[in-house]
Amino acid sequence: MLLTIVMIVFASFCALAQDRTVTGKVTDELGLPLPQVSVYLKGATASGVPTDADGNYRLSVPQPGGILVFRFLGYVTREVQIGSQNTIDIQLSPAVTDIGEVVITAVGIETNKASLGYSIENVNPDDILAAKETNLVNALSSKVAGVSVVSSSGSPGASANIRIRGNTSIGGNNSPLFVVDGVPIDNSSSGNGVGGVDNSNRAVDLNPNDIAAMTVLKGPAATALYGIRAANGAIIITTKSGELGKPRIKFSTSVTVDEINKFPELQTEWAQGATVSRGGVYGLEWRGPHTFEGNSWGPRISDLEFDGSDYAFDKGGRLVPKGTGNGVPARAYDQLDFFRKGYTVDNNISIEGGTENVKYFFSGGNLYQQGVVPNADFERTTFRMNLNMKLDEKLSVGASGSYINSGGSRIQRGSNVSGVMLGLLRNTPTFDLGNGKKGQDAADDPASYILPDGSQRSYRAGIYDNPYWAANKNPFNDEVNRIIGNVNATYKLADWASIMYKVGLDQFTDERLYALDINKSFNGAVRNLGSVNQETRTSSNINHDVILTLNKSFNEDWKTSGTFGFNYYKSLFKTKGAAGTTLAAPNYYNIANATDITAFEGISERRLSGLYGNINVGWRDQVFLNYSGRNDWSSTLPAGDNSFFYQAISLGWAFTETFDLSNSWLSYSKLRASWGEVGNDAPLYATSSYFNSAGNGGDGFIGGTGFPAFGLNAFERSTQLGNNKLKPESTATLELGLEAELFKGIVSFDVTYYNAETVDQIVSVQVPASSGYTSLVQNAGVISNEGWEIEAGFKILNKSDFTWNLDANFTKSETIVKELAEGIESITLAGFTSTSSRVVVGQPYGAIYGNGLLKHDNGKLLIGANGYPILDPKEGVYGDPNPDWIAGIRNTWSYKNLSLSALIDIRQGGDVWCGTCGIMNYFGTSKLSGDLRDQTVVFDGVLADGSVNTREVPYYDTSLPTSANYFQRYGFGGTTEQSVYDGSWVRLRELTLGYSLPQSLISSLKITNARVQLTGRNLWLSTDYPGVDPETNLTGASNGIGLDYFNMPNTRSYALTISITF
Amino acid sequence: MKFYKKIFFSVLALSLILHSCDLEESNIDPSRPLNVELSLILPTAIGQSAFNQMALPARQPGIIVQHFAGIDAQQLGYSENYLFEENTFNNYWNGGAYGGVLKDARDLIQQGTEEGQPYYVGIGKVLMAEEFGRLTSSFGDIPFSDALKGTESIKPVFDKQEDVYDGVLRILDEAIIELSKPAVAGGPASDDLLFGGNASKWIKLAHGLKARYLMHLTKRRSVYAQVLTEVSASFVSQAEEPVFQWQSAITAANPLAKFGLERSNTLKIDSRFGEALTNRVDPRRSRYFDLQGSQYDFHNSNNTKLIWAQNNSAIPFLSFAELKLYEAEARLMTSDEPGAQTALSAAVDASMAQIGVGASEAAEVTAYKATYANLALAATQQDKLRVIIGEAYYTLYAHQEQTVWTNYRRTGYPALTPPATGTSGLNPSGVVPRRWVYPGGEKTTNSVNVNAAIANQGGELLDKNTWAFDN
Repeated sequence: MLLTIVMIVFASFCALAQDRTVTGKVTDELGLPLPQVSVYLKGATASGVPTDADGNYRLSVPQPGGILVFRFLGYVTREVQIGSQNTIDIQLSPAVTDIGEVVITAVGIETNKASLGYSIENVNPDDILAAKETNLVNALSSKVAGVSVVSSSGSPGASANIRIRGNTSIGGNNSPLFVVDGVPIDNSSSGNGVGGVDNSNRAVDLNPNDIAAMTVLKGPAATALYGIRAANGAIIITTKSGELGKPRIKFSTSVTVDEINKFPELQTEWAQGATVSRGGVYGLEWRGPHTFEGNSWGPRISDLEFDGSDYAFDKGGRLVPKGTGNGVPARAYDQLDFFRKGYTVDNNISIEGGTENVKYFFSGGNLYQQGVVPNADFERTTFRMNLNMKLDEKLSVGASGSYINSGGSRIQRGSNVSGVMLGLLRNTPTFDLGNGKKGQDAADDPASYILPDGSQRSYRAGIYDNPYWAANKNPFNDEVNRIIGNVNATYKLADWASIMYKVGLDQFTDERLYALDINKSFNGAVRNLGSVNQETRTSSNINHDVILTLNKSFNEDWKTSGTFGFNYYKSLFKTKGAAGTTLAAPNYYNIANATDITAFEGISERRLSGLYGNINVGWRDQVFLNYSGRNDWSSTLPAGDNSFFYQAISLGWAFTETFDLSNSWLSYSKLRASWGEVGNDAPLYATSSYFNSAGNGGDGFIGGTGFPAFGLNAFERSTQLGNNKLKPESTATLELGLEAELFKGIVSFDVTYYNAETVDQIVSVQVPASSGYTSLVQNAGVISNEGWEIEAGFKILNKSDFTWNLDANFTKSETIVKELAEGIESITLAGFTSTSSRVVVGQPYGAIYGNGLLKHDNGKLLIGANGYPILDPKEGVYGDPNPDWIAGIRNTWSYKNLSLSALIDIRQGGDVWCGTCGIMNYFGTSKLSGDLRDQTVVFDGVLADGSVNTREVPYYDTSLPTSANYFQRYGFGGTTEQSVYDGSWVRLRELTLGYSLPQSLISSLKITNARVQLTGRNLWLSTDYPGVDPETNLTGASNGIGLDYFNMPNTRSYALTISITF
Repeated sequence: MKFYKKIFFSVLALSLILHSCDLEESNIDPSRPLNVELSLILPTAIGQSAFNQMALPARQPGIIVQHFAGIDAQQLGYSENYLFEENTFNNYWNGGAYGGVLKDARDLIQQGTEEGQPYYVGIGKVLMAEEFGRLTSSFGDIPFSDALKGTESIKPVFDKQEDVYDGVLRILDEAIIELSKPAVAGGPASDDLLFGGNASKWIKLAHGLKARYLMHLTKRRSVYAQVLTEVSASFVSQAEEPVFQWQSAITAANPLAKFGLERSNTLKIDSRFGEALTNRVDPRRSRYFDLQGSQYDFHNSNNTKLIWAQNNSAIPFLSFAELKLYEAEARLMTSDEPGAQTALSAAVDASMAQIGVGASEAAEVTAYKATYANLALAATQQDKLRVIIGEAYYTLYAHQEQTVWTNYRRTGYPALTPPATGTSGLNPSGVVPRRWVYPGGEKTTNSVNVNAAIANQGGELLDKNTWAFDN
């Protein structure tokens, strides 16, 4: 059908005959041919022709000649007197603005941005490089309107959560598709649970130094051709390739120093201990590590001194009341001593060049990052090549490929007694974790975490790991070997038609080994029998594309092009491994050391075929219409009903051209409107119900029984019900936009509004367990996304050697869960049984759900007769983790060879549950619990009868059990409500000072370019959030957001980069 | 260059042909079966039931009856503040009960019926009845007749507690009928972790469970005569009692030992219980606790005497001692005091034998029985009942905490003093908890029916008695 339309469109044009012919070639400022340039006789636009792919044109003109106009969007229009010339070659220079920049739209098509009817944005690869982020995703932070990035932590190689226009899917993936050189690649992450380590998202394997161009596709009108895998937008990456000329060698090296940027405040006034009853009377007592005491609700440190006795946990002895010991005063230790300075060394070299027929690019890079936590590191080595060959006039072939080796040593964190943050922040001020040493020195000395009897030295004698123990005895190592590449061939059918075949491969093996060593307390009690796990994950993605590209314009007024393609995608993911428990020998992390071993294997295979077409029609460079349609066949949908079609249409109108306003204050403006839909298939294997390998559990505090057990194997029916009637889900987006340049480009802006609704969501809906199942895969739920995106630029100063530019982006997006399945109020995305991130009907996506305090009908806090607020027995929503808006503001000043750039990142709103804070308050290690414990309070609220509460009560009544105090009486960590904080921030995300050495200095050294750059990252942060940097997420790149429970801290960095091109 | 052209288009054509292959066949998970044999389901059904008996659904009653006391984190909140919240029982309700034993039992019953395997059906019914009994005694009204039906009834309605108890007893009767049928080939054998496929023993277990759940109804019905009938049809000696043998491997270890290891130092034996055991010179005390300083440990990885908290503990599904205690109570309440004394004495002997109190301690046992298991020393029938229930409090420690809690709720024995800090929005009157609130997971998915059940019972908070214990 689409082809027919194309034919009709083409057939409706005819050429007009004239008297004589002028030919020539149009090139850009670099001498490269410019296709699609309008060439016409002044006063007779209808007679014009466009240049062909090689920039050549051929136009009939009247015998007397006249004036020839060369016009191309984004370039300065030129007029030339024909006179008697028959050949006119001409060079166009770009306009000062970026309206005509080249963007990569779907399936690798290079398009002029001005001709699009939807929002699309380029990211400057220099900005990506300058961010000095190990993870490419982090480098996108606050640079593009509509894109939000939240890193999970500052751990080396940690994952980052990226969303374009928010979340749309409940059960599925919400990350955009990453496409490298036209081939979609895997950016999955796995293993970012509430415990464990910070694992990577696989885009960490991309070396930012290899990137030549990067484009962000947002709505379905932009992504339709990538199909369902780009349902959440796409990041289109083009890698560097060779250019004509002699070999050019580029070398760059950078060194970055990292330190933690924000940490929860700790109290230093009160010792380990609690109230203890002596003869029925409670009083404060020091209870040292030998008592396993968890609380720091003991006596004032200044009221204690050492007794000099022989005490395994402290060289100074036990603590006793002042005046009864040896006079050496008790002291508080600085827990931040645990961290060290991290550093990153990144070296890259590349060589490129080419002849008419062969162009080449080779690169190699190595990045080594040492984390701020002792023993944490990450390393990435990449090799890349890009080859393009012209075999003859019609056939050209290309190949590109990269090999990546990445991985590191990751440290346990989160809800995990083996994690460093838990052990560090629960640790009492009076326990010296490093036993006299600090940082890496303490980590390297077993005396800081092992007692002479071989048991663990920690403030609770092995119940929570000493962070130094955690850094040494709980290893987690991963190593990824990956190949990403493609081979392609393009055959030129005609000047205006070519067909390309491309096969792309993304294959990796991720090997993980993680273990917990045997852990004992001084009294011989075993805390952990030890475990070791080995796991191999292999992923193979193969992508075939056949693409027919047509590009023919029959006259000056109408330009048409079209793309038609076939895509086949196959993904095979396997995980295999063995889990061993009960280690025979300590300090030996091999599966052979385990006493009980269970093996596991999982296979996931998915196939997808698609047929698509895309037609563009442009009229006089003013009105642009684009239509695309795609049909997919997915293996994950029910057999026989697995085909679905979706389409998009967009319209752009540069009305300033129509009304010829280019010389007015409004030099350029375009209105855009688009509507598009995108389908999505089902999760894998959701059409059937299976039996799983059996396990017995349902406790919540302990692990369960795993079969094989008791000498038998067993299976049990999965509690997830399959559904063989699933339909594909569908998101429809309406997008409106206005872009404009004012005062000859001094001010420019681009405003986009969008409104999307996702229906027929395929959700694993939680159903009442009493039905015998806990979830049912079904089409249910409606989610709406609405938002505004604004990009603005101001060329504040533009003197010959001094410029000052300000670029800003603003994103406001709101995602509301409008419906879930009938009778279902919420679905948990991630978190704990007590506090979780959920989708709740009528609430923003990812709402923070948990318990809180009772309110009176008038909305005020209800206070009990005892003067304290009352626990609400019902759970509910207590926070919205989505920011109200985010913005990035970049100021760039350049003076001659010197440039300074500052990127300010603002996030307004977005709650974060500081589970860490609740637990620190509970144990009495937080500054808040230290400051308030000797205070009294009249809680602001009302009694049951509505009268204002006037009762003054102590936060901590030391004549009662410690568990009666304000911070413990609502349970472990207090209520969810008490620990939800505003996560707003303003930060100086990047500050970059660059200096290019003058040519006069370097040309004698045969250097064409040499640059020195200083970068600061997160140099300044302003936030009211009491925990670590609120840019954090416990469950990493998952759908659950806004959770902080002993997350690793984030970092601040200082980097020096030197790059030289020969 | 026709050569290139040929190659190019051949590759293109080949690729199109190769990839129009069947999409559907790749959506069957190669690593999971769609159907399995009955013998592969039975082990997990029994294993999950044994797990529930020793895991969270046992620890929480153990905390409530003051056998255990939390000293840290959530456990402290349970014992000092009674913070048994909506989320506390989600895992048990979803994974242990409805999505655990009950789901497996339903599969055994359905598939067993289809395949003509009465013993699998009968065993499924015994396990199902026991789990429903555990649920209703803790939560009152629960989904029962409408439960476990999948999409047929995806939001099950709740049945009244009275109807659930009747249903539990009826299912046990049905189980006895199935298990009394002649054996057929392919019946349970080594996959039966309790009895190795011996149907007559399952019948005895069914009768024993009937005795247990009839005893739950003492405040509501006259059950003692029937209890005596059921007890007599159940195990006649300790040698017959069903024992679940846990393993030393941590992946198949006794949940109470796992808790001691994986959540070390959060839960101890309540010092009041520890002191009482000491003061009574209970011969079992060294098998129950390990006194470390001032703390009574129920678990210590170095102390193999603590028999209820070993990785490889042998845990009776239904102990002979428990049956004898029911018999003692029933006889006492039907005015057969000598019979009651004999049964009580037999219960103590069985308990001592079970945990390995040996001949060398015989004198201690005799002295203990003379003082604490001697109905003659009590004046009234109520006092004598207090002696029997009091002994159950010591006998059933750790392995049958559910029954201890039920005993307390139906008799008020032994007298327990709630903590001063036990008052909260969950427990406005601050009493020793009478029930649990419905799990949050059921509330958010089945709110209409949960709310109806709450309304029907006049509330769900911890201080609200359920029908069986409200009189």
